[in-house]
Amino acid sequence: MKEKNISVSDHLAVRAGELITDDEMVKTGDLIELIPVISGG
Amino acid sequence: MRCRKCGEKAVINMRQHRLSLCKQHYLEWLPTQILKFINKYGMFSEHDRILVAISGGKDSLALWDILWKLGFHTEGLYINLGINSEIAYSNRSMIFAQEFANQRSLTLHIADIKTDYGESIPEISIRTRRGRDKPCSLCGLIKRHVMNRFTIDGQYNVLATAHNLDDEAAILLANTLDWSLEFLARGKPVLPSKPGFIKKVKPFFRTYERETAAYAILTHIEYMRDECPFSTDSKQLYYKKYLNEWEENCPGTKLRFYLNYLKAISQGAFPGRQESAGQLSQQRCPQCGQPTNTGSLCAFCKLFDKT
Repeated sequence: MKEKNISVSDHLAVRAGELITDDEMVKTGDLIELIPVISGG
Repeated sequence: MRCRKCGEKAVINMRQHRLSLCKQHYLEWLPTQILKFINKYGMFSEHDRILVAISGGKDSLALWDILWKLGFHTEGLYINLGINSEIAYSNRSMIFAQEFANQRSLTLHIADIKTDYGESIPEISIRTRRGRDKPCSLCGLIKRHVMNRFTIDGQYNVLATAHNLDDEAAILLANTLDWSLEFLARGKPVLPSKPGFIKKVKPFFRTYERETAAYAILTHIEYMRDECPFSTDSKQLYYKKYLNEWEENCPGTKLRFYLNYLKAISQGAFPGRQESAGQLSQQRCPQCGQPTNTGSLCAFCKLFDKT
């Protein structure tokens, strides 16, 4: 996420329905959903 | 990354707590933390009737889920604001709230602004020419009035809202930048009951927004992920992004910012303002009976005054 300049604090990453931590290695072909976590109230 | 408690694969790393946890231990840890804060700050007990303000978003549904699992006596209140152009924001949020309540056999009350008062929030905003192109200030005024009416009429003891640490830190930053002393004096997570108002509490005030989102995802809570169309470019989002940048470079920044503010308040910061924030006018609105300082109709009733 850091390499892609995506804020770890602003998003959670989900792979195959499971939350993954920001140090997780992802492989080519993995589908990662980035879920924004901040809302504007 | 491994779970600190069992060594299994972690699903969340909370750098501010220097703690990574697996799914099972995170779903045990967060409710335990919330219960600890409820008790530590004297928010409520198992004897209280608690009304939970529900928006259909991750925070309010996660809070309701946790309070329900902890065994507290809760009912929910969803206020349909009628923000339904484009993405049907209000109606879709209501469906998430209803489905959540139905799945758990919980009672959800629905207040529909258009049905009850004849106009939606955007329509009131246009008619009264308040808020320029955004009805956000009206939205806060109307929600506060309706929540207060529900809590009094329903004889609840406590109103719980799902404001999280990111919300509180962003509001604190905004009020500090503006030196809004009146607001700075009343940013506490527990506001005691006063004549005309019941006690208000924020059980998530020490919980990062990222943590409530993780809880919602891990417990498979279906929630409204779209933002209110009027929150685009909101100042709160702007401040939250800045705070998160600081947080990434210096974990714990948001927590220290808010907790040290509470410490300053408890040590007497803004003394005159704290006293006035605790005081309440004895005047009542002649139309709705809610407390007011205006000397006539309250700000809410003035919105609908045709005279």
